Amino acid sequence: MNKQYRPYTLIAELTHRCPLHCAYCSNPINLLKYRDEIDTNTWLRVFREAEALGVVQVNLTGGEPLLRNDLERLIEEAHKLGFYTNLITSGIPLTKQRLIHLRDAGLSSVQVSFQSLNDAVAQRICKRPALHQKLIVAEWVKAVDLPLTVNIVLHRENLHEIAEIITMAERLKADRLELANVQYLGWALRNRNALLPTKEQVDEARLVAREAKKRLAGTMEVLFVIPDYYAEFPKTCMGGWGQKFILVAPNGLVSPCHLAHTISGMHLPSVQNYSLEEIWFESSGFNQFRGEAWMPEECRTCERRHVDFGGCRCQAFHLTGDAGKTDPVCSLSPDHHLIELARNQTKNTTGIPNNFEYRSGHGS
Amino acid sequence: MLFPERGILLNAVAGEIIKRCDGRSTVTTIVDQLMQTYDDQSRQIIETETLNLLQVFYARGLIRIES
Repeated sequence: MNKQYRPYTLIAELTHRCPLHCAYCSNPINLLKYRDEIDTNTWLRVFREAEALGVVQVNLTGGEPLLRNDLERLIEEAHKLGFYTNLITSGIPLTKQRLIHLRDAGLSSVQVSFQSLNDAVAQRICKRPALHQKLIVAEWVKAVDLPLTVNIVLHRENLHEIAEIITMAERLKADRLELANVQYLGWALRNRNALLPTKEQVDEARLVAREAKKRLAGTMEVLFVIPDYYAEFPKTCMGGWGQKFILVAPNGLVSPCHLAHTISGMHLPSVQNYSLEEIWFESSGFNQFRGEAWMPEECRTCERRHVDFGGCRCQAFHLTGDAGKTDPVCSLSPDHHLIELARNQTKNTTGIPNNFEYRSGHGS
Repeated sequence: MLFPERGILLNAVAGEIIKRCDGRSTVTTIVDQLMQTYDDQSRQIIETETLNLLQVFYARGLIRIES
């Protein structure tokens, strides 16, 4: 057992049900497997156990967390435990009255995610009209005096909107703007050919974001997350495997990240059978990629191993079939040609409309 | 100090400064108070250090300036 690790953030995936069907959803592909949902009392226990482990922040996410009728009760408990509580939502379905109740229960901040500022593009991504409601919800968040994060997931079909999105976020008086490119896992990997932008698109958007970041310093924090397919080195995924984050899926499965449970052979226990403390410190799943012993040669001898820990384990698994390999995104990975191939494809497919495979299986 | 999706672990001095940002105290008031806590430092050093820290936090949107 290794007590050196402490989770700071609990990611509570309260449900995988969602009114939207985004083609890049970060929920697992086999949604049906996670259809069962743990009950209110189990979540309350999870929160208390998380607090005892050292957690100080909780992200209430999904699916769409607003679909849980016990959200108020969960926020109340999170607040009582002293957590900073973020609601990560599509804004659908929400009323101003309910938002006020959530605030009064102790909610700390709200993130509203957008697909596009062009209603047709937005509907093409999430398969229902949602833009109008999202704008209203974002205004309510500020009106009831909660900090607002505007999040937009960027890809080939909306990267050119970036300047317009920044203007909208300013108009909404957002406190924080997340310009987050798609990371190609889960449903996004299925739809990679239709979503992955060209290098030129990314470079152009990055410049616009950089200018906004400078100009808006002090009024709005601007974050630009590049698609890791265009980075030289992998991202520090989740701050390292089992080092800072603990995620509980709707069915009670506990995992170091959103998709670790999609790695075959990964043993991740459920809160229905074990305490969070036992899972965090003792489960084989959480320990599997801690430290350096698991690393392949090229990571073990690399000075960046303390920076990115070899990158994303799920990406390594879903692209190479082996979760213990270097993230292929890394320019030093022997599998890097897989990434180059995908990048090169964008040069030939730009301008050709692609069909999406939509998130489905549950919750419409 | 916690904010959406992240947090910063403040050292003792930063904590002393940030906890005084209550929407009412002026920078001068804060420096006056810190002078009493850190009486072995000159006013100039405390003032510079305080302004540096406030600037970093302001740029990240973690504090606001009320005029």
